[in-house]
Amino acid sequence: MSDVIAIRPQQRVTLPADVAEAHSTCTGLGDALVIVATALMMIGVVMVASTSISLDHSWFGAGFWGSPFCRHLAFALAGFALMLLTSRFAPQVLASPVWRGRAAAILFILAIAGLAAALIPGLADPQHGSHRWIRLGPKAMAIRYQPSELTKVAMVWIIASLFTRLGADPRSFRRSFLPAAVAIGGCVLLVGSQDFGTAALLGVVGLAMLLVAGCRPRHILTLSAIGVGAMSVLLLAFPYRLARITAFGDYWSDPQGHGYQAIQSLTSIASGGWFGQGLGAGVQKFGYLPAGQSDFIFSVICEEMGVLGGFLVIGLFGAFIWLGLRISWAAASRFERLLAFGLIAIIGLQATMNIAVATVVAPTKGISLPLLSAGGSGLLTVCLAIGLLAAMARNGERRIANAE
Amino acid sequence: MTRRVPSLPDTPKDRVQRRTAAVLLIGIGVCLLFLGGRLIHINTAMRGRLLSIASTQYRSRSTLPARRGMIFDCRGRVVAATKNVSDVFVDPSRVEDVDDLAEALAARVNLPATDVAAKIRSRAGRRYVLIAPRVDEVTADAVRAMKHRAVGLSDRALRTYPLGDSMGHVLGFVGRDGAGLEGIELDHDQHLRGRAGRRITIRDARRRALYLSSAHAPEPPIDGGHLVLTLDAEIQRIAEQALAETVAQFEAKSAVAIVMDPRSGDLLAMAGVPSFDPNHAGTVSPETRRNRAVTDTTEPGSAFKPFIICAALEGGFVSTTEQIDCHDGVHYFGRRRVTDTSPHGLLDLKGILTHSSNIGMGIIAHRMGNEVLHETARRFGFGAPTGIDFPGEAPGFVRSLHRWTSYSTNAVCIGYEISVTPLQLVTAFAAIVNDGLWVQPRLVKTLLSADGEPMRQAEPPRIERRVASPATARYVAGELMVSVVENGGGRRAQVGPYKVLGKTGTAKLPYRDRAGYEPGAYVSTFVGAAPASYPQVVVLVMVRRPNAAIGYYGSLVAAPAAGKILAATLAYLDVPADEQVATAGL
Repeated sequence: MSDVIAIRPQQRVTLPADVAEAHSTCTGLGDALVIVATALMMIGVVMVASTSISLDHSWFGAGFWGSPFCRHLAFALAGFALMLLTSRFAPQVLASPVWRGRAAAILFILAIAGLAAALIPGLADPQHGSHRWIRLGPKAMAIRYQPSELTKVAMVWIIASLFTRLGADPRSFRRSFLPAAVAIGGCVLLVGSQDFGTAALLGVVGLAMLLVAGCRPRHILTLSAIGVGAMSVLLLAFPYRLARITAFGDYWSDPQGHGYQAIQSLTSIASGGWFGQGLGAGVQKFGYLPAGQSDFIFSVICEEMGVLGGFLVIGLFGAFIWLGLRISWAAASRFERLLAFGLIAIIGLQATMNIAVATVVAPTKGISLPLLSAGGSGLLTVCLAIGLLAAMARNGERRIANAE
Repeated sequence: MTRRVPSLPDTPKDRVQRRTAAVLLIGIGVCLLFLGGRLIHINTAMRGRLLSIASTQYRSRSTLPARRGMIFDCRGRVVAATKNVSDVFVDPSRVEDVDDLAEALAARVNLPATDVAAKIRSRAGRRYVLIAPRVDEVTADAVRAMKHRAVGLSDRALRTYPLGDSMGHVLGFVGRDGAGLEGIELDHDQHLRGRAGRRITIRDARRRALYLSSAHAPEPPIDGGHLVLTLDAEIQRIAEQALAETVAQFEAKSAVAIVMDPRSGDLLAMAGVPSFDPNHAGTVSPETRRNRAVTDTTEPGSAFKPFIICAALEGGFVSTTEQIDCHDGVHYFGRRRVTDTSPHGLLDLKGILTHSSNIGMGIIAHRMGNEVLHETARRFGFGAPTGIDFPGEAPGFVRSLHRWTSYSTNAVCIGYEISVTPLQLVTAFAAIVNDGLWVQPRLVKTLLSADGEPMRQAEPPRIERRVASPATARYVAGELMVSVVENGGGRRAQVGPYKVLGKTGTAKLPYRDRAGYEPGAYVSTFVGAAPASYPQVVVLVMVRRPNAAIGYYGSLVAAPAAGKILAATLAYLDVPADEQVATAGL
């Protein structure tokens, strides 16, 4: 098979022209990823439109910014543009060790500053008792920014950067492991004080990145143990989180209380059957299923499009992970490989956790479904990540072409 | 086929990194696959339980009430109808200016504004106060037009009986849920009520209706059919009026009157005093609501004699010309002492009935024997329900033959030791008048569909039975019982131009709680028909417990009332008098 190429270490290969030509057929990884992401976003726009049907006001009754559908549509368009722009302009940044370091610093400072700002009373916009948002602009058309979303990209970036900077050695405790562990711990603790689900996500992905980077297993195990301890403290410090987890086991015992969300979500999925009630024809969104536009949009998809619709979303996320895996595999540098892995792991794991919550396999965490749930910050951040992945796919392909 | 994309750098460390990353990401993919399986699990194993939750929380089933059918008298007068009424209520917690609202509302429901305001204030802060119950549709529309957020209307169907307390015992009434509870309303409930429709409405979490294309089509209600009674509201009124006067005059406890067409068995009137108004059924005791004509049994007394005489003639136990020695008013049959009101000596059959001689009846009865007497009572329909289309009909009581004693012979022939309902008595009497043909009585003439079309197949077959030969029946009715009215106890029944025939009866009432007869407690009866030459209507009047000091004989108490009813009814029916018929050569 002419297109199967075994590469031995330290071997410089010069591919014949016809083999390079054959490879051009599989160079569309970035485009494929953008297409899959766009498909998911479009489903999201349709489902947010469907769930925002209400008897209280028309779609536009509460003004453009008051309408969840309009906001989401605007963010989806902006996210799409961000995705394309990033994939066009990020390759140079990613390829330059100097810019990688600067970008790491900028992202990290922005993220930490945002997380801190969310705790400052003047800027904060507390919702349901937790400080997850910052309000920017006047109240009427305020953009509520959720800094924990950017923190995901920032943490992945800085870990990738720490392990690939000059003089880095993953097996060294002092030179690489400790800085990375501090970065992970800082992000997890800052986010975790307000948002347990996202903190857990960050912690798991951070550990996975240490594993991929090649840290010593005992270092990782020690850090995991510390992480579990910290999580336990966070759980015990905020009784509602503990209640959510203990309620998870026996949600049938209190269908109107702590079991309500779980049962309503399952009810939505079951009423969809195999083929769904039809787009827009679901009933659970009319006040029965809480957070139908955001955390539980998967249940609404299943109610209106059935198991088939659920499979479509799961399949698209599967394809998404597969494409990300191949981008990471073919990445042009170790930095990009780590970054690509981190980004795809964040998105894939978040999707999995969200669907696990919607299908009541895991307790409620307040994690949205990437690309589908309503919510501007999350959508823009994921689009940024996908743009970066597409850019890395482009760099990888260019590297192969150069190698040829 | 695996494709490994070449990439650089490519040291063993890079390969370990790639593989680790791939394994972790594939792990996430496997989790997703597992969640796909979970979707199938939710839609199969858990589906039933979850769907029942879905259905109970957002599907609300409502019934679309069917309109209950109307009841008409035989001439098409409405005697029971259903109209839509509304209760007007106010939610005091939503009222901002009580006086303002009270004034606006009072003008529409026709109540003093101060009363309305007082009602609202009396339940300030609560959610419901009834302002005006049962307002008609015009008023309801006026209130609805206010579109006030604190004012509400609840619509319901109200059964009304335009005749008030007339015919109440027969019609019965309906409960709050619209189901027939007594009388015709109960007996023909299935026909009248129709079938309620159903609608499934899908509601949001705040119970507001959603109109989704996936909703089920409603099942429309089927309105109830109508009924035409055999009763005539005017004859009913005549009977009730006569009864009321009689009861007042004799200070009686209660009274029953029945008017019947002897040939068809159609009941033209069935009246009871004390009367009862089904519009206010809830306020009346069950005792008063009872239709005594079919539920109350009593020993008939002398009114029973014509049936025995009929049977005696049929069986050849006595001839029309035979003279029977009725002695001097007292006679012993074995050890039993039987008395007449006065000594009669020799009497023929006509004389025995005219003077209602108990001794004469006893002599005839002894010739017949218990077996024939028993068979006679049963043949005329006693001891078994007539099968009239009315709920709760009493069968009366005729003791089994093997329990009859030698005393029974003398008791049964003068209307004791058996108990009968007024309806049984009038029906049996009508059989004699109707040339010996017993016809099952009925109250419902026709069933109409909801559109007003007659439903023939719904009419039950009529039961007819020959109880005497036409010759015998004509002799007993046209000769013997005419004589009762001309010369005997029925004299006071002869009112107006129509020649009346009939028989009186005065029976002692037994104690309610012990054996023996209560002194001074009587049932006075008259059963008659007119005009004598071609009887058109049969009338029974039975007055229970008249004040014995004023009068208690059937001839005195019941006969005049029956006479009045006969005269007025025949005049109302435009029946020509006997003389006119004779002149016309009919």
